[in-house]
Amino acid sequence: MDEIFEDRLHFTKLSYLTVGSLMKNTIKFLPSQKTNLPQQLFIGDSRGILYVAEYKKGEPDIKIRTSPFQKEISCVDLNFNVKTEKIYFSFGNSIFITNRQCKVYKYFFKLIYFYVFNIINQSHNKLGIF
Amino acid sequence: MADNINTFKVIDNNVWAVSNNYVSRYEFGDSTLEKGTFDNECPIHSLFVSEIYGKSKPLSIIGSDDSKLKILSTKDLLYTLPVNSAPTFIYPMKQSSYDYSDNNYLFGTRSGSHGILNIEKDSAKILWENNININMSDVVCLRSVDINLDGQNEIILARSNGEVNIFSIGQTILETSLISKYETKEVLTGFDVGKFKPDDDLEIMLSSYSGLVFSLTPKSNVKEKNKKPIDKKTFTKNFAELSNEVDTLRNLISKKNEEYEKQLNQAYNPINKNPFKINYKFILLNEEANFLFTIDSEFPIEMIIMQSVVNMDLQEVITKDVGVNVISDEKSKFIATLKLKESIHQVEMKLRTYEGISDSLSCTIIPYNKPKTAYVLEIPIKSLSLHKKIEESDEIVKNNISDENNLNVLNIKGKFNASEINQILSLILPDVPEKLNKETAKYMMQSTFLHTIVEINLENNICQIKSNYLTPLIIIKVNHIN
Repeated sequence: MDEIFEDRLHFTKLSYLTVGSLMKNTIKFLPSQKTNLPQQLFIGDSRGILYVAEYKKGEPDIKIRTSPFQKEISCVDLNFNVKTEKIYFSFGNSIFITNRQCKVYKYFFKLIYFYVFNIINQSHNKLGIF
Repeated sequence: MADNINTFKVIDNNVWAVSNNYVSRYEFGDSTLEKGTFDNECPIHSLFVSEIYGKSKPLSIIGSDDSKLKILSTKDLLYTLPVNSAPTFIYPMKQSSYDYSDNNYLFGTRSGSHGILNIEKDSAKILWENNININMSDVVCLRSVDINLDGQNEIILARSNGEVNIFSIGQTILETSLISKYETKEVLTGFDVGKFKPDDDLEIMLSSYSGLVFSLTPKSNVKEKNKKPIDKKTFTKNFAELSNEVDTLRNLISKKNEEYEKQLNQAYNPINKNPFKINYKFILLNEEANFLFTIDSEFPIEMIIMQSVVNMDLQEVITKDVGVNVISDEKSKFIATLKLKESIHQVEMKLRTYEGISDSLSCTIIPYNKPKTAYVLEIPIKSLSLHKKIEESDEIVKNNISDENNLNVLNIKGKFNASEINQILSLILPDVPEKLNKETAKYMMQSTFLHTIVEINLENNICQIKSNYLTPLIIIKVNHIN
């Protein structure tokens, strides 16, 4: 049965970008770097590409488009509580850290349940992670 | 090999990662340390982590496939709260931007209901849940944000069928009312709220399965009122300018289309992959004894062909403007073709399976793209597909199983492990895990169609199956144990 309600809020739809298929939790607004400045948009798609988009000269503009990772981006999370802003994204069984310039990719960790965790730590040390 | 990470959450130097049935917490510093893993025994659909007042450690809230919200302290299960369907999204509930409490959480479920979870120092409860037993499209994202800038937050809820609902919050969080309903043709996957355009209001930036990113901005009534009416001369001038612009854009599109066609002809190679994303849900609706079958496609769907050896009925096609043809022959008991319009990315239908044999539903999806391509889905159908797992404490179980004289019993004895027979049962019954790490197990199942009960007791070398109806026992024995 349809709900009866008073439509008190109306919306205008605006199409901005077309990227690869998007999963749940893969679109995030990045905090504005200066007060009253518009926000940038961070997107990760199913083709494994990361995008940073902004509104420039009256139209949406993809500022950064990375080369594709091997697997689809399954989740994006931000951590702006720490001094340096960090953007986390996952693909496959790994999580990576980057920034809004997408210049730094830091391997964060790999999810392996059936291994002894010391082995992971040793391999991390060998790779020079943390 | 570890499974893929479905979702994760980072707080300070901790990360909670969800992969199928598991949620793990890791602490990172000089090295990454695993602080604990919780095995949920069924898939996890959503996760939120929060530092709750009165609790020493952050708590994780997970939405479990068995229609429960579970609250965990790393690997310890603190509270289990049943809800209408599997929770698909969890987010903190704030009444206004000045609300700093961490106790209330919005949740949305797979069957379209939504509600509020309250967590206190020593308790947790569901305050309310709306749209129970209506079977609306699943909730993909929800937030509490002051979208109309009136000082009070609104609840924004997005459903996968493209619907966006806005609810206003009353004096308390117990009162909400629907104030807006916006329908798009896209298959929505999520949204975030922010300010993308300069000098503009907040926008709801939505993501879709087809890859389109678009926004919804509240129309400001003040702006509309302040607009002055334009004279005829300006109107004619503006109209001419806009017409020219539309013509230029049309020419540009046709040019780009020609270029694209040329490129396709040059690059066409049958070996080349032309992948596109397909997602499906095949959910048993307990009240109706039907399966809700939803197919989401990256490209608009042109045709769907379904075929199965298992007898089934196409009860209803929920999506509008679909041409349906159902036939059957000696080999395939069920063949159905669905012809769709060009702009449809999601198809929803209701199917009822006949219990008896295990097989699969083969589903070929052909989208409107060039070069022509197709995607084949194989959906397993179990012999007792209309059964669902229930709790032993349910009233219905007590009434049906208590009288031992009216029960049919199937005893299987031999030299086997409980895990072996469990694996066989997982092929017959839904909600039975493939792997069993214990030496004993007990399952209570109920038929959603006939409401009969099946009780299964597993141990090493013995398996006892009881039911107040003979047919499930015969199906298990004849088709799988013989």
